[in-house]
Amino acid sequence: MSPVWHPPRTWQVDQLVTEADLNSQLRDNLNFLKDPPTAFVSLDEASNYASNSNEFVDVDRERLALSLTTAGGDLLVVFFGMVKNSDARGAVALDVVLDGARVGGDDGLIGSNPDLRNWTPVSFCALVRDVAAGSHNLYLQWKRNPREGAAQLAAGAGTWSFDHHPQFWAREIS
Amino acid sequence: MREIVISGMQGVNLEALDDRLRALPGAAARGISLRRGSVIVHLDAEAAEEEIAAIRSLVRGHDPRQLSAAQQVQKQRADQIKTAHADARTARQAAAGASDVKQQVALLARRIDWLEKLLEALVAGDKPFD
Repeated sequence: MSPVWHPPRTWQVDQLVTEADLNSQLRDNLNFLKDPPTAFVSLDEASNYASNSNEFVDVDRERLALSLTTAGGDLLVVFFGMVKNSDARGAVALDVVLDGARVGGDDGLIGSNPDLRNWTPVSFCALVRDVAAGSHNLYLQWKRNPREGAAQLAAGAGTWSFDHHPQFWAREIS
Repeated sequence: MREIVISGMQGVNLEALDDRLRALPGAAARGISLRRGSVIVHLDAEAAEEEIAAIRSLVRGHDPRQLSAAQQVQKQRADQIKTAHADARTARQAAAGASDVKQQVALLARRIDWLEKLLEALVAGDKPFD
């Protein structure tokens, strides 16, 4: 069972501290802090991903999808991986959709540089502030940017010298 | 935007397939993605059923060996570089035996021709050394 967070109480002089108080305020909350809500994906696929969409689309709605239930607060969303564009002038833009809304907006959270069709590392650590308590879904999205070539993501598919494994994860951090 | 998924697709030539999809009447396709052996076609939200059927049929019949127009130009450039490179090598070997300046210049021009083609390909964003 996932650890549960209980809002810390303000203690009064001479207040009787019960077993339930200690279990909820100390045990449960320490357990929560030790193991906060986290969702994690690491890719090891048979083929790399590609897209030439000019608008943000899911990279993989089944595999690059995170679900977690939070106690309410800030969420750290992390991604790293190797990307490239099949066109020397093209690059790759990345964003995250949280509960149906893009976190970055515009051209996303981050983009690679056009790099003459070479594999390039990209990563982001995005802090999403004041996320309401409850269940949340996150999806990694991407597009080619500018409108040239096709975006590609190495997915541990055995590409020679670039058999890298991207990670996409989220953790409640406050 | 909506999407349709066509599974069981391997070795897709994304650029060529995209070219053909965008050339379909109505041009409902806005782009394609490849995920774990599936082709995902991103469509206008209002794409008609007959357009979707035509897209499915085209994707199912996709032959990755058929190149896009840009890929054909790229391949043509690569072939020309290969031919020019072979000729430049021959010219370099022949230069040692060339007796007069006119002949040496002609051989040098053949070597420069290869370098010129190589430079053009690099400027166009090709990777002629792949």
